[in-house]
Amino acid sequence: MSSTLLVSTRKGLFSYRDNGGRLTNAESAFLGDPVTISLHDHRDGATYAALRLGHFGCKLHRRERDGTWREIASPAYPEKPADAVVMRDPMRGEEVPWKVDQIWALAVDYAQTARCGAAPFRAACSTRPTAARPGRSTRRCGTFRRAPSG
Amino acid sequence: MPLVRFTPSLQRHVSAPDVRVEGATVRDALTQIFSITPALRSYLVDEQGGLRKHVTVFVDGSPVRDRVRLSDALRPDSDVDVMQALSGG
Repeated sequence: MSSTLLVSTRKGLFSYRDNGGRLTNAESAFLGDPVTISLHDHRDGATYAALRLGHFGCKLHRRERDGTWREIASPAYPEKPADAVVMRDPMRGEEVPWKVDQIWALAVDYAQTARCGAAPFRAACSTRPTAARPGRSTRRCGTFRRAPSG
Repeated sequence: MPLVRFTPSLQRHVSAPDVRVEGATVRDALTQIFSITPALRSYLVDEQGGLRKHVTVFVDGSPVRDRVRLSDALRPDSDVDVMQALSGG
């Protein structure tokens, strides 16, 4: 069984395969864009890559089995409640914005879901909807749904 | 109708040609554009609906004042430029 190493960098995503004891570059994607974390889901062969575009924010992409990368909706915080507690950066004293800044963790679990942690607040989790298990969400969650095309 | 133009740096991610849309405010114009090209929304505004920190909009050469509600008024012949903001030192 071959192994694949995903390397997420500020300059893109690079995957390497074990080729008889030597790692060889199998794919490069998102060249020039910061990739904060990536994940291979062994259950369906999909790979996820979270980007943090300097101007255009946090983005999530999914690589299908055929090698095509597609942008899917990135997890997002729900609408900020009017009575939300204001959190401040302890060093700068600035208000922490109620917006996903970056995805810092991705993981699969045993319930047909993929979960992620998102800054600046505590971990946000997301579920990937399936036919048998429509997307569910909890506080500070967004669903893994495909981005609208257009 | 106001003319809306987008920074070339955005085109690498989402196709966004110049477009004329009806609208009395910047929000009106963007709402129409997002209905035409939904993928643009997350690139220009955050999940709370405000302009992204490093995105800026100019109306007839002046930056919008209301980055949260995008209530700046448009004239029928306004030129609206959506650009990436330059920041840092």
